[in-house]
Amino acid sequence: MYRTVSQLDSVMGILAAFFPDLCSRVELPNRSIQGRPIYALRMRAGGGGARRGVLLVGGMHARELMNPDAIVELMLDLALSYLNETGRSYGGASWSALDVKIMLETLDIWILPCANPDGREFVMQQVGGDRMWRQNRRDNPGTPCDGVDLNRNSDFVWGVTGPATSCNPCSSTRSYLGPTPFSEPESKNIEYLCDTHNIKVFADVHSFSEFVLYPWGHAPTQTTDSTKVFTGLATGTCAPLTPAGYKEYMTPRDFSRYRTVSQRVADRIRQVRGRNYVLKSVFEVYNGTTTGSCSDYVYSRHIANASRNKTYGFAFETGPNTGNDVLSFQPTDPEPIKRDAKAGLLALIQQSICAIDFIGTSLFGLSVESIRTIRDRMLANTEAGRGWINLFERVQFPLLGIVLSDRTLTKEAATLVRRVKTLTTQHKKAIVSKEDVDRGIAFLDELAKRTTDKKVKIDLSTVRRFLKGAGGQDVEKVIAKLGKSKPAPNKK
Amino acid sequence: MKRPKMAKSHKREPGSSPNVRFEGTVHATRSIKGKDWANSLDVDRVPDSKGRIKAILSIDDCVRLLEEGFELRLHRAQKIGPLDRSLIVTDKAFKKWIDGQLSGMKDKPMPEPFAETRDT
Repeated sequence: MYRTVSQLDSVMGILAAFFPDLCSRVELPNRSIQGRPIYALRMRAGGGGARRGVLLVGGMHARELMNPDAIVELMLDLALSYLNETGRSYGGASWSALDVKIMLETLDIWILPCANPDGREFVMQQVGGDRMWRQNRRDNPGTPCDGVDLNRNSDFVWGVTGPATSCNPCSSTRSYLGPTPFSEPESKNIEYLCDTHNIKVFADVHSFSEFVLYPWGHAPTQTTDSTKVFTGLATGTCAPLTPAGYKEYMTPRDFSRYRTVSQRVADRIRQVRGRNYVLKSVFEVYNGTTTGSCSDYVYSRHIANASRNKTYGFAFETGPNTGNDVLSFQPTDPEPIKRDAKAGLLALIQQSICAIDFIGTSLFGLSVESIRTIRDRMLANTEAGRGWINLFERVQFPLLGIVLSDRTLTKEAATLVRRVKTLTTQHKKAIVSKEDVDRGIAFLDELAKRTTDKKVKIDLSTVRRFLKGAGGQDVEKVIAKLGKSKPAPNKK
Repeated sequence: MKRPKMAKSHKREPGSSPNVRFEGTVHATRSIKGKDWANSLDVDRVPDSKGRIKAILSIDDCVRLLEEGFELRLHRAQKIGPLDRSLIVTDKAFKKWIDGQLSGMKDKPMPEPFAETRDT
């Protein structure tokens, strides 16, 4: 069963009315082509100022009906879990009350569950409607054909065609890219949210095929030739991508991050009821060029304009290919697939948290830019360095709950973040003192004592061993060593 | 940015054909030259785990593709029309669901947050 646009809007309105300290509903600046208001909901709890934002979008393609329902249900589930201080389970995938608390108190979670309300209405419209409608309801002038594909209309290599991207409003692809980039009010709302909020992670939820997708869509992704950047490509050509055989660059760090996060999302989905979501780049879906997609656009923004924040853009394709396209898009019982989707989205939200950023910036007002610079410019450039980054990202979520549950530990974490910030700001002359090492080890030991997760304990002991050898060395050498030697767990 | 040139169209609006579409796969025959034929088929592609060129095809699409020399394997006919009314949540059922979810929740106090901000 599928909810109407007004029912989806009602869920957001009711959440905002019932729980104003937790949920805010915002009408976005651009109404749909047919004049419908389009709403987003922000969820956040606790104090603190600037936060990392996560944006979850559904319903861009009208016929993919399950995802708007799944997204509003997820928000309701999060609100109820937070307020009742209970955990949340979808099949075999569970999150504790503490997990939910961390998500809502460290992030701004934005949802735009129904990005294309006119299209959804048309799918459900009992007279003249079409359940396979995909695009918005733009009346394309001079043609008998309606609709623009909102997921081809973003300003990213726009106007380059492929197997599912067309310049023809009457194309049978149902993927008309529109007259100009961001010509459509519905896609402009995505741009608006990225421009006005600190969106670090984005997920555009589609159906079907059980994929977790990452950039790029216009060309195959490669990590070795940094001269191949989309800003140099011809756009608006209404022709296939040139030059032939072009492959787009992604930094090894970002590629590794995309693969790692996507795998964690897929792992969590598998826990629900055993479905195997496959990791792919957007290009691999049709083995051909897809341009103007939202997930590529959000990730491309920081490359096209260095003053913008980096946003990791993902797309999900929920639900299996049943062999019957109507039932794949609109299963008679969408509940199991919605549970998969909700688990995947929760996993992604969890992966969006940065413990250092939250403790440093949000709780204690410390800029952690120097630490981020070390990560991105020094560690991210080597395989060993990326191994340390992965280790940190792996343990931060389970440990953040322990730290934040104890004010003394929270303060100690902030003190350590402040010290690391000082050392990394002056890293050429700064020395890691014995006191630094002792304090760091005491903190690690306390965490190891409190966690019950064996894998986390192993990771903590790996960090401990490295830290023990860092005393008396200058910071530059310590960072260089991190970039050369992979984290090696103690084999004992 | 330059406005794209309009591609030549000989087709009717998708959905304006007789009241049926087909789910099918498109296959090249010997008359189809080049490796990239799948990129310019102009059909409503859907992903296929076996890597086939799977699409939702109108009658016009079928005629055109056959004329262009492709082989089509049609697996299923879809009647064109709106979502079955029985799959749409009624307002009454919606109200019952949301009331059930939020029963006893209105004005529920917010839990104590982990830490108040910078004065901690």
